[in-house]
Amino acid sequence: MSEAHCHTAAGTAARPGCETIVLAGNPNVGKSVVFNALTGTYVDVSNFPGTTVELTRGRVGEHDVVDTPGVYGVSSFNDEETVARDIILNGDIVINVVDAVHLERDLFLTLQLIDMGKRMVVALNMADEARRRGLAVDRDLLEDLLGVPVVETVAVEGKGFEDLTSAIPRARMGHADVDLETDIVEMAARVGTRAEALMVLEGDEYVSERHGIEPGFHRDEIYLRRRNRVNDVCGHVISETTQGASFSAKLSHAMMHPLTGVPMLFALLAFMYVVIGQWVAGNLVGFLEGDVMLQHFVPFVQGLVGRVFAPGSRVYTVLAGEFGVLTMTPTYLIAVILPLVTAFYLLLSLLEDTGYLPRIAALTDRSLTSMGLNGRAVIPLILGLGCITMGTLTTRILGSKRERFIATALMAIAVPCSAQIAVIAALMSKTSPGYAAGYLLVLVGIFVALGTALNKIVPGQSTDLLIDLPSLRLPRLDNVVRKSGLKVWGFMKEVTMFFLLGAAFISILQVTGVLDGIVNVARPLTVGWLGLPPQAAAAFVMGFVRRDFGAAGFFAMHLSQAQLLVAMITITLFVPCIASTMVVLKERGWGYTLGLFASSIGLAFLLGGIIARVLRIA
Amino acid sequence: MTDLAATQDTDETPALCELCTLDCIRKGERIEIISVDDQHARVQALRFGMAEGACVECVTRVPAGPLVIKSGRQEIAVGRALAKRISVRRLSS
Repeated sequence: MSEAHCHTAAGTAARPGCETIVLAGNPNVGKSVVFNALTGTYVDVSNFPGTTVELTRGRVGEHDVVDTPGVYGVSSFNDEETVARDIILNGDIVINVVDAVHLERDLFLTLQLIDMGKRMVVALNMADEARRRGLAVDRDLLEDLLGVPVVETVAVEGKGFEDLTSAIPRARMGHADVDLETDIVEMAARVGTRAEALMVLEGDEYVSERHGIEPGFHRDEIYLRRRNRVNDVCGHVISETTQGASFSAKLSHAMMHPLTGVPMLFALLAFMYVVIGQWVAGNLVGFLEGDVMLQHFVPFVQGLVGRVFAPGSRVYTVLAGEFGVLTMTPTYLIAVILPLVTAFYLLLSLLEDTGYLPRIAALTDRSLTSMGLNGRAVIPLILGLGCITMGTLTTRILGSKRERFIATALMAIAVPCSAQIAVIAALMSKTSPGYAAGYLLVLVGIFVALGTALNKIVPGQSTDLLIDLPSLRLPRLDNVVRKSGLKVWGFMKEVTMFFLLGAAFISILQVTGVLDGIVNVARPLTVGWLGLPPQAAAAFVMGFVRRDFGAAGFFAMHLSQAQLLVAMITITLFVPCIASTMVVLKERGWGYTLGLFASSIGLAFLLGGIIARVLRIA
Repeated sequence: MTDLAATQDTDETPALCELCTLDCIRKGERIEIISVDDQHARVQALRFGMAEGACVECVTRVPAGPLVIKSGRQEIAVGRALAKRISVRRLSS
């Protein structure tokens, strides 16, 4: 069966070796960690759906291994399922990772894979945690009932992988649904494989269309029987030794109840503000930027450049001037962006690993409903605080086009990304707390107003919340550090390029006099309407390149506190950066992107001007 | 309205409200899922373990927000609007 795939894979050993192993499992079961341990290459290890949309490949022994997005079942309900379905259909062997704590949920996919007739091995992950929670899973009995090898692993501690690797040759077909046998054999004769036959019988439209067959209409029946088999298996293999985990159950409920959950959420935000806004943005950035870069690094570079090019010459300005490629760029990258983005990703990874995010989703569901979203949308929105690009990509997990429309617009307009928060936090830490609070308040107000308005305007129907709540866990520090380290590295690589190009672009505008022209033309808007110095126009031009870059443009302007507030609100609402514009364009199309640009520029200047009037600086 | 709600909460469940929708179930009550009036949600609920015919327990009601249902050891948060479209039967426990 696998011979057909062989000739395409370049460099793959000819005979037994070219079978593809597919890693499949529910979200949050540690699948990515298993992949990583099996293949030795690092992949993004994440705690919730949406981050493994891109495929990851590796090798174990002579086999190719492909990771799939975490799914609860194989069908075509969303992009991730479609991707996972096609990889699974094309794979030869499936390693199905299941979470021992959530067998009732996870075995549904396992039995579906077995019904598909895939040769497979089950990795029973987190068995240690199940035992701590007072759950014993009878591995031998599970192996008998499923009919496939079951191997215990503790992915995060790297236990059980030798057993798992050595079980791969023993992968085999399990005990499928007997009532389905006749239909499957009959259908397999028409479509080629049992796996595709099952998809057709379960009414999968894509697979049916591929074979020109009417999709089956017995899905509910098949699913219900499978659910009953899962419950039956669970009833046999799980024994509850103690009524464990009562503290975690209480904590879990406290996180979702508004009376306790809202204070906890605010405590978390306050903690994040203290760490990011005060310690890192205030103390660390203040030291790095003020003491190290501006006092030592910049004069040093200017001295070096000044030896070759006369100060004041065009080349000197581009290299070491106000927006210098060698002066301003490293200063912001190393002293401002790097420490803040690192702090942000560390906190975000910690949060992801604990399982708190789905509880925040349940807590905020009510509020988000009035904006045409449901609780699930907090996941892209919180990721958007990291990077709008990442958040926009993650809107794929939302249930309808309407929700994706609203969430993308909210993020692009009213959610500042971590790099921008970095610069804004550094600037606002110089003002009195009232202005920082004012910034937050205005932004939250705009967010809510915009969401409510979009909910009224955008046609269609939003979906309702229906999510599983994974168990709460203490985050593993090594996992958190590794994961955020990788994200920071990827982020900095991308940012550096944009900053260098952006600085060069602005400097060229400056030396050719174009910037002065823009500054003059925009004077009525910047000075008259917003009450800012005329040079603010340069910052907005920079804002087209990157949002944080735009905010950074205000650093050297010596603004009053009120002017800072106006400037920061306007630049936050201003257009998304080039990278996220590209993603929005790809995901939502031209019309949407143009509308987004028009409304974000309009809103930014309208509100900036109104606030300037309220504060009486214009 | 409030009177009706009060009677629903008594131990002796009157025959009247043995059948109702999920959103009027209180914390701690055990129920049987009768039907889910949403094609996509029905399948997703089934995968999570909340099949039609399953006996589940309501563990938390987030005021005006989702309900948290426990099926076996799996907890599921169900949005309020969706809960209105899930018919259930109260089980006396």
